[in-house]
Amino acid sequence: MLAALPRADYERLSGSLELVPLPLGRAVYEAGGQLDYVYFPTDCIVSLLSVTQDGSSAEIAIAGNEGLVGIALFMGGETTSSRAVVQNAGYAYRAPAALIKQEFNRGGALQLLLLRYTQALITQMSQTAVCNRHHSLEQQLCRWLLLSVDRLPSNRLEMTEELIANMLGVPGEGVAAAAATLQADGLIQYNRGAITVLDRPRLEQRVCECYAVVKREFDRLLHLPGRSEALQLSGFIDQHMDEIVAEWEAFAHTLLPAAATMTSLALRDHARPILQAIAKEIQSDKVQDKSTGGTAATTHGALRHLSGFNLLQLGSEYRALRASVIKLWRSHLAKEHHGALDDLARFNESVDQALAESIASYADELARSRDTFLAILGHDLRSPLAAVSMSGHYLSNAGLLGGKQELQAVARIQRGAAKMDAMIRDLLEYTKTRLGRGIPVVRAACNIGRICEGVVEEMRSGHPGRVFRLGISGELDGLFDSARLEQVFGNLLNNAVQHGAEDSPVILEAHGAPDAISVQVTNYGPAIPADALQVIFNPLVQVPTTGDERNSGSLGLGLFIARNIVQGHGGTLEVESSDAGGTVFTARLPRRGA
Amino acid sequence: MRILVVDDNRDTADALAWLLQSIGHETRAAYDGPAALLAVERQPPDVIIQDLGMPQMTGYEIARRMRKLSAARDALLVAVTGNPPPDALRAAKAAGFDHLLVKPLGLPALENLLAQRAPKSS
Repeated sequence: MLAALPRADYERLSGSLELVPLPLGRAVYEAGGQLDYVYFPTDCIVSLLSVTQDGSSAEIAIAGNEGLVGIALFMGGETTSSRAVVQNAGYAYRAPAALIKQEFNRGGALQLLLLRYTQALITQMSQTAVCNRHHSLEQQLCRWLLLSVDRLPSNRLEMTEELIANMLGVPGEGVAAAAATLQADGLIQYNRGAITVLDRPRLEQRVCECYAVVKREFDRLLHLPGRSEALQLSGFIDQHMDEIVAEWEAFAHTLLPAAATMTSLALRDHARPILQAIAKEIQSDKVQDKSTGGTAATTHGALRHLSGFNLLQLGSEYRALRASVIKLWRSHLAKEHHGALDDLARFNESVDQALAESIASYADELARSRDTFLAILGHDLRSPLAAVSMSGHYLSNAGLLGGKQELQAVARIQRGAAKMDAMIRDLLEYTKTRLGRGIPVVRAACNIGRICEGVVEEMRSGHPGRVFRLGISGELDGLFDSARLEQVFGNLLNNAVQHGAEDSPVILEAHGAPDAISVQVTNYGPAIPADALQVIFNPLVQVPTTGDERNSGSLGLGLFIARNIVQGHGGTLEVESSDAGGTVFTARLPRRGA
Repeated sequence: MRILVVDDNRDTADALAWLLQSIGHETRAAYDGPAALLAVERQPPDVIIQDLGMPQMTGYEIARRMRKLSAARDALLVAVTGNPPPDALRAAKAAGFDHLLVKPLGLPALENLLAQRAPKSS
């Protein structure tokens, strides 16, 4: 009954509800006694009994999780002449009498529900009176068993024949005989104070019409608008938004490392409008056309891409969302729906698993064909570029050009070709790594200090307006791939020039320690945000520059390639960034065979 | 030095041939395998600079055939490629090449190679 209340009405009660155990035989109320609490049974059954002066009794109705015990309280009578005894042990929520009266007097959903329940209860009492007078003991027993089992989570009643006889107000031998017949026919099993209903359909055939009359009336009266709303998924999503979002968020955080720096807010911001849109669509029974304009889900997908989520991770977020909703909804549904829902959940899981596998292989193939395309493009561009470059060399060498302007033009051709060549080199290094070959590292004796000097010299001539500082200390001889390391330091310095404040220096420091050589590149300026830092080494990522210009000639591959080369040397390349300390890339190159 | 440049991209072949000529070499260009083999027969070169990715006859195939010609037996055979596959150097050596260079060729790298060959031919 509590579950049938609208959320707001339930919340006014929930703080005062207390779950209490009700053992078999406990008298919840005595006839004429004071009612301090109203009881809402969860898995127990309370029997309402009329007692005669000589102490014999007869059951006039039973109450279970469909209703409550204590109607006298809100009906205005304050007390009642019947007794309420626990007929099947279990638990009930109890609410203080004063609160129920107060809520009843509000005239809201609870009042409607309680009045309808009372009407249903009157029907049960009337039908019990008719049944006891006109129907056979076996029929009465069947009615009693069915009504009881309807209110229990299992098909087993903890009862003795004697107790049943008391309830029905008939002699014990009569009940025993009727029970024996039902057992002999395989409808029930009876032993040691417990009755198990084995064949419910046949029990329903044997029972008189009283059971159906009572059940129909309860179903009709208690199937309220409030209840149906609570059971509908759209309403459920709206009402349990917080719970669902919390579960979803917990899952998204397990998708490391992409989600490591993601703030809860970033997900919550989208989770709510996405869920609201879904709830609305379920209600309106059709998917809205979203071909124009973006939805929360559109934005969410785009931001996930920026955060470095892959397609599979994005998909599993939605899988988690659906699983969370179904799991929470299940716990609010009647048990009879659980089986179907569990089947559906398992089906979803299997389809999701297959879908995830397909998405993964599809995305891999897509990436491979893109990378293969880039590799071929890079390769094929090199030949015409060679013609451009060598023709430039030819013109500048052959002494064909007398004028200063012609020489300048040729120099421009040469520089352009060199830049294009660097971009193509990056592109091909990237495709090599992506296509599983890795960047080859060929070690030879070299001095990292001298490599640094060369790279800084080149940077100074390329960026005459910028200040470069070089710091060298320790033993810097070792076995490294000098051409590759030139590329690493060049890429790091280019990145520092691009992102550092123009009036601040770019610093390259190399220090040789006994076990490893570390090389640091530092620039100053606004710190790189944590989210961007997370994906800075990912290929094809452009960290926004301070100005609005993109650094032309950068494919967003420089740092990716730098890290791969350092890793190819068995080392690490890390980055830290803060407003005070600047942005510092540290390459640590272990000595090998040193 | 007599240098033969082989590349199916005519511009690339001619550009390199011109460049080498401008620094004092005697150069010719061939644009496919059969033409290259014919050029070798006609006038034995000191150095052959040859693209690996050629249609019809692959660069490796041309190299193997050249090495069978007495005219090219002692020539310095240099392979050129846009994007070397991982085992390119081994395959190039097996086919008879002496060196493998990656495009675009820089003049310093070329001059280095030619300097290695120069004492032998003189």
